[in-house]
Amino acid sequence: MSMFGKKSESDATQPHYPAANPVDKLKERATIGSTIRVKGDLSGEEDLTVQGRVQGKIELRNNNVTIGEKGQVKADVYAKIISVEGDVEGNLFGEEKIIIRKSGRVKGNLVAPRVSLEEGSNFKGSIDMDSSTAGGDKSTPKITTPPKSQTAEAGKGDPHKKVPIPTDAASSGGR
Amino acid sequence: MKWFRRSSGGTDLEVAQPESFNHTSLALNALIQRLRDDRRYHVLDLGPANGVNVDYYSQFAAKIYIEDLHRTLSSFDYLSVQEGDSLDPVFRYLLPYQRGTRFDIVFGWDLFNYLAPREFLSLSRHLARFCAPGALVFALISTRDSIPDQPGRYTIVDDQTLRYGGASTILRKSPRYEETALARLMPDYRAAHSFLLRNGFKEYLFVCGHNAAKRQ
Repeated sequence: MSMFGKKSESDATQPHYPAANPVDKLKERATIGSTIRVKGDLSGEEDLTVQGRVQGKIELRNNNVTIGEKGQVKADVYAKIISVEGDVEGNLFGEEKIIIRKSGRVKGNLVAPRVSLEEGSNFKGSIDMDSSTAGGDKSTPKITTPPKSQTAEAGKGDPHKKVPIPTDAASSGGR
Repeated sequence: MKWFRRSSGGTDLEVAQPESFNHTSLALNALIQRLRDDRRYHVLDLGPANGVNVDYYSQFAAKIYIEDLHRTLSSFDYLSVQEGDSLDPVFRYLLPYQRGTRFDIVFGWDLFNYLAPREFLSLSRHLARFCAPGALVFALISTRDSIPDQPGRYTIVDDQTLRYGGASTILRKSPRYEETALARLMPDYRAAHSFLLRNGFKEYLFVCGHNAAKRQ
């Protein structure tokens, strides 16, 4: 009986921490809801889920970004892990990994050390898994920004757009 | 492959058994045998995105391009292209690669069977501009009268095995591109290997560079 008493006493001396650590709070996931539209650049220090529409740039290099099933993003996205379940038109730069889920549709270029395309996913563009550009080298994590012309051309070639066919001798832009 | 006719009586609508099977691919094996361990390659896949294939390419690829070109062409509005015009500008628009892009390996799968001759010629010329000398092109050409009305889905199982997944049960007429037609439609390439498969497809491994240097 005395043993139990001692243990109880010891427990009583343990400091009591608040349930939610302020640091943990910073790691909470932000969500852009399905009715929200954002035009501009997003940056910050927490994970993000996009269910709405974002046009511009998403830069959360130390955090994870999820484009939800209802999400429609026309932006370059920089994050640690990028998961796509909705629509993305733009270049994705994943420090660790890019995952395109079966419901995901991506048109753009992917740069990450690891890329996963689920069965049924829809992707058109290039995949660069070279560690020197994707940040695969753990000692010097790095994400390179493509030349402006490359970023600007990411949406080119949209088969759904009615545009006149160029007749110049050679294409100068592209992927 | 077994095909059966759903309706006879004037219509050429046919239905194929939905199927999925593995086959030994000697052309794929020939392609893999030519790769060197000490270098990384730029790979162009004209088919739809396939995660298994991307994983496979990542063993030797520095960069992978996925085009899903049949889907793109199917939904493309040839707005300003007149009958008889060259389609070269269409492919420059749809496949706008940067100057300096050099593909080492192209997986065409069975796409070429779904292209009209002028599409085929323009595409092959366009790609030749971006292929490194000696680039390898893998293609499956039908020798039969009919083909499924959508390209199949090909998954690389290992260095010499492909899994075919039928994308459609409806059949359409096959262009049956023969050697002479291929030589005319792919003037910048030469066939290094060809293997006739039991399902009526002929596997080809083409090498780019035949006339490409003259066109640069």
